[in-house]
Amino acid sequence: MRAYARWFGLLCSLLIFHHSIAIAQSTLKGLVVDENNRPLPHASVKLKGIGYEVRTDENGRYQVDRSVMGADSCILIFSYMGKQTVERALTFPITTLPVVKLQNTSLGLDEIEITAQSTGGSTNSSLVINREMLERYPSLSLNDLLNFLPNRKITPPSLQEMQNATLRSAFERTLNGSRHVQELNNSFGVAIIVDDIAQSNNSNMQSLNPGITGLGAAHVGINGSQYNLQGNNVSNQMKYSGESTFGGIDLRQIPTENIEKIEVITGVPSVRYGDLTSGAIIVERQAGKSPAYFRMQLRDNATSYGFSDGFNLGKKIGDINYNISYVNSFADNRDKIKQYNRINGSLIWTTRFGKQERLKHTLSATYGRHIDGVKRDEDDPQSPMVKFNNWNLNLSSRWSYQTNGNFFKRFALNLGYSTSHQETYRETSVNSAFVLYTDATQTGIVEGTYDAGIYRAVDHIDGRPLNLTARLESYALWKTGAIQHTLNIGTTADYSANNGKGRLSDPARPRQNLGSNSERYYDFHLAVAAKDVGAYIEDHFKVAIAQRPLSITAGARWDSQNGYSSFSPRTNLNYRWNDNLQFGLAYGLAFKAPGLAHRYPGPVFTELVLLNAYNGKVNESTSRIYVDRYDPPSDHLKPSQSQTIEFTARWQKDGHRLAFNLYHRTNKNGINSYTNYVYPQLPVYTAIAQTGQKPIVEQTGTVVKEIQHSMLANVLRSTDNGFEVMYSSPRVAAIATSFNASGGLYRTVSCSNMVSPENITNTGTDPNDIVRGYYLPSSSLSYSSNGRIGSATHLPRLKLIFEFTADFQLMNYSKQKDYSFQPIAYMTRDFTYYAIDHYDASNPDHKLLYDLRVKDYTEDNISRNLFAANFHFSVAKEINERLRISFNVYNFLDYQPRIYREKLTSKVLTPNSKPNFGAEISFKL
Amino acid sequence: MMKKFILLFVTLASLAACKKDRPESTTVDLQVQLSSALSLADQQSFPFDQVKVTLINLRNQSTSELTPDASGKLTFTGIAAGDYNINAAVTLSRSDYEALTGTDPGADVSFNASQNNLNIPVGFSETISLELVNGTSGAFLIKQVYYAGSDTKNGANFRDQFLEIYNNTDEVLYADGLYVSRLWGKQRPEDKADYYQENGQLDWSKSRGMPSDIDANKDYVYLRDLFQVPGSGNEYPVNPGESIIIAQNALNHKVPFTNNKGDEVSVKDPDLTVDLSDADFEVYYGDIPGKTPFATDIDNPSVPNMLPINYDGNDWILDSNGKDSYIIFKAENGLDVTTLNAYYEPLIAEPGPSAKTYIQLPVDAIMDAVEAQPNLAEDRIPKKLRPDFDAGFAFVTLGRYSSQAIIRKTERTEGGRKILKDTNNSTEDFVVIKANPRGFAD
Repeated sequence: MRAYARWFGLLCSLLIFHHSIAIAQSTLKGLVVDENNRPLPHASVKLKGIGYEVRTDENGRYQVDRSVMGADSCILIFSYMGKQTVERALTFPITTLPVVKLQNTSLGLDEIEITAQSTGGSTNSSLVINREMLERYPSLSLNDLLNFLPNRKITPPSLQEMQNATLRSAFERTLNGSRHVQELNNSFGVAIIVDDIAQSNNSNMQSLNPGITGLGAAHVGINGSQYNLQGNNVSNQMKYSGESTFGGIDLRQIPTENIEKIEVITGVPSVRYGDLTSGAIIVERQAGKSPAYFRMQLRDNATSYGFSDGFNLGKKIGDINYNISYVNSFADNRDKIKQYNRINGSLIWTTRFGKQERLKHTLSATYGRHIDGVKRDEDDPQSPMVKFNNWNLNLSSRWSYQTNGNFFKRFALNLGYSTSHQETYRETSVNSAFVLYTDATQTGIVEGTYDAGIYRAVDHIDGRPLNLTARLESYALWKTGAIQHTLNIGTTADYSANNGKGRLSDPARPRQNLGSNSERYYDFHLAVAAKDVGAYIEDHFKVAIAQRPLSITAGARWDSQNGYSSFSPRTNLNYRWNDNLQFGLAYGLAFKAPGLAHRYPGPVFTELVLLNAYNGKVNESTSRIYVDRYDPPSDHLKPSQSQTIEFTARWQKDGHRLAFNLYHRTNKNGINSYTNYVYPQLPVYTAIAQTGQKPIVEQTGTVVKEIQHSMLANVLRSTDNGFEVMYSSPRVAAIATSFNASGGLYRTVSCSNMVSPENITNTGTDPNDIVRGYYLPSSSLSYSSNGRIGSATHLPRLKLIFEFTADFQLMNYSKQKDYSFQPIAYMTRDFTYYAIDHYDASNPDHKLLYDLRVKDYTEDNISRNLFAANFHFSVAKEINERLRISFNVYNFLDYQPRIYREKLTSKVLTPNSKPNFGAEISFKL
Repeated sequence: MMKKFILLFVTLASLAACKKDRPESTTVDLQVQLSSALSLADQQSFPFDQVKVTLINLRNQSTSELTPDASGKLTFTGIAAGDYNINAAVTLSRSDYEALTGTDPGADVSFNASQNNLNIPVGFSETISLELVNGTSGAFLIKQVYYAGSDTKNGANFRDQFLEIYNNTDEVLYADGLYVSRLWGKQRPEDKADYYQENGQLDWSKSRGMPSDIDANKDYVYLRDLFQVPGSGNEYPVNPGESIIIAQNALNHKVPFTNNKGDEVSVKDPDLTVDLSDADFEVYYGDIPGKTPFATDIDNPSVPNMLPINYDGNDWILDSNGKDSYIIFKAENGLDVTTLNAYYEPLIAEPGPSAKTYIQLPVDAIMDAVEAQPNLAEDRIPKKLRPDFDAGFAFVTLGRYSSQAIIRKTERTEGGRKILKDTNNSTEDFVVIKANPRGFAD
């Protein structure tokens, strides 16, 4: 030990010696050491803002060009895999760079991170979750880590449900397994960025035809009652689908084993990030040398294994970091028919070129394979089965060139390629007398074909999304007067296509409940590849106001998406009021391009059976079917848009930390189905039977029928308001415990631009009966408010931490706001449309429509608040430097309140599921 | 030591004292007085001594049967206190009826009376009065109701449902214009949205707009749907001892599909279902204005369609649990269905604009009726039919999708013509068979 200290002393003196040279060479030098004060080679030293990076040499020394560090101040980030990251702010003039000690992350350290960090991200309201926390909580996917966000209900780690991230919005509960269209749009607008490459869901086309089902129900699914054990009444309300089209990336596909850091941007992201409206989740994975790490997790419904390792293969070859992980999980271990199984591997290869390592190349390859679905129940050969299997491959090549030029300091080129094969396959047994179908693909009257009615109906969707993405950018330092600017200029290009075989529908074997629609084979090659481009410029600088620094990040972005140009200015201002308090203000616009599935939902076929003269024998039967083909347009879809304004405050003193965010966001041009009606005049036929021959068909008249033409359009609007609060206390020494609390309130008003039709169930035959009323669009108001308080008892000597969390759902309800009771028009059974210019309460027709709406409103109004509490517990313990165990229990008190709602179809709500245990052993080699 | 013994004894004694005394079984003598509203010819008296009175203990389903004296009085002695159903029934032959009343009824006539869910407490001393009333007779009878359907996976699901109507007379009858309807009432035991009568059934007198000068519950029934056999009066003759079948779909459900080459595709287990390809009528919704029929609703060109007057749902699907009651009637004695009023069910809340109204039909019009019920006792619903139309109820023992139908018993065979039992008590008159169109119970 003493020998090291002496060596350290020697190094320090060396440094002082070097420093005189440093000025001359206009580079500054520093040293990084480990917890034993030994020099730490290959540690990363990054300049915050421009991403300029150097590494320590074999002696732990590093040097940075003075010219890239700005005139007055800069922040250096020191990191090394497996060690706590250190940030240092430097204010010039200085003559030497700091000596920084990086310690191994360990529960034995006095200071560990208990909660997600609300400072230090790239925007005012960013939340940062680092490796230390990830290692402490057994998790199965990225979604489980979002439990750290404020105002979010804690959910047990599971891979059995679709996981889409939604940010800062509240939604009404949906019924019957359909998805909330606003929720889909919100999660579609969350950018997931892994290692600076956006994971795109834009070319995902796995879906049913939304022109038939509507956007919220356009996914192949299976009812909970068809895979759950009998008697589980609550779960029968659920519907499972492994398709995430029209929404965000399925977060289950992102394993957590090799994540180094997550930054969640809910406010105004940098203009570097385009193609988003709701925010961004930025994931950095481990790259470079790192300790080999094995982890095994056992949960009540899943087992997971992960191994990662990073090593250096010398200067020429560079660093390799690889990771493999495997998870196997079942919805119910007693009846293993619903399964989610993930195998994932990644390889990150970093090479640096040149003596000064100015050129750096990182090649990443990630492969994931997912077995997802419900197997056929062996006890019931006619039970349905469904699978959502897929694999995906992501390749990226990232180049960074650092120069000490006068203006440009760094150039970066990111090239990303991702492809996947997605297969949706659902089989259900159909037992009908016969099938009457046609495979006609044009509008007209045809004779249908009869076929046997007992078969397995198949939904088969084969998709091969392909995404290419490129970014070329540069960072420059530039000075106006005394102000140092960091400039980031870049351009992006994205190409999305889908080369899948498409929806392989067989009209002769239709699935049931299609109504008067029918499905046809739809080749995804027909979807024209989306080519979206963008360019941006951002400036970061600081000015002093009243001797206090105001940090300004201001940028603008131009995008061309689906042929529509958009311009999005964004800015984050941050003012340090005093040493304890800072305020932030952010404003920005953002645009999200419609996905391929939005742009090309496929033609909609409606079939009206005009005659079905069937007696069981094809030879003696005939039919007449009116086929209507509708090709929804695609070029009218604009990118959806959000506009955010946000105020933030951060206060810290004596270890107390308080963060507060207040935001207002308006969203428009969200996408939903939009229906027009057409009224063709069609013949009426009658058939006269003939023995042994087809019946004679005669036209006896004509009749007008109604056909729906459904397309996707920018019809949704919403406004989100809310706040978030996070507090963490210093550790109370006497009980070795720190406390934290967080919570918030989101309030969302969502509405649509569409006139709202309401059908009247009327079993009469009078042509003058009113069958449909039209009303102005209503808007609904939803609240979501959750809070939690927690304690963390950390005993560094024992390398032990206990955490208790009480999670409260405080205010979660929806109600109709601005509900319009007064009809604006109605339609009678003979399809005559009557506009209502002035509502007249004495007119019985008007009154009828008014009453219908009032009754509907009272029945649908589910505005009763849901309040529930839940309690969680976790413990982590390091046995020694290598071995760590952690254990967490969701709902450890097994508190399962039931909330009854008379007027809902699903009368019982169970906000807390049964306790969910997870144990993890990790071993560092 | 002694102290301990005493203590133990006292403890035991107190335990014994805690044991409940078994209540003494208390019996009641139940007096019943029968009466008849039949207007009799002079010097005639109603043959009460032919009436069979059945008392059913609802707790243990034990029955006892007695015949009253000529004045119509009888006493069930020593019955246990509890809940009972009591039924009285007699069938007078056509000649006896004529002798009694001086009019020829055209067929045998049944008389019924019943009271259900009678609570007979300890010390009950009242006399139960039962008035025998004659039900409908002769003409068409509902012979077989196949509402259960067959296995959803191996059979034909509910597609093969049918109703069979029988000519129980010795004359040719015409089905033309015959109405077939299902009745509406309380459909689920747990329903609470309406006003109810004491017997648990809907209290139609509280329906909106119901005139106050009529007995809305006793003198009327309310129709869930209404279909009529087509024809101008003599197009569809039905011979004595023969029947007509009204099918949901007139198909051979055993082999619902035969392709161009003659290859047959049967359901997985054809034995579970029936051949309705020779049904006399089928129900088709495709001609109803504003209705887009399902592709599964067929229109067999060789089978005439029933005329829809009032319909429910998207297809004529009988309640496979057995919650419907079925009636047939004809437009006789000046009855015109188009002039009948329709009322909302007696909802406590204001009925919404899309609430259905139900046609009100005078009970006198009913030609025959049968009350079906779910097979499980806890699912049963209050009766929709008065005892004089159906004093009991019938159900398929194995429940929905069991391929079972309820069918009338054959009373006797006269010269090859089977005469079906019609005492207006379906508990007595019906048995359960595997659905068999045009078949008989034995």
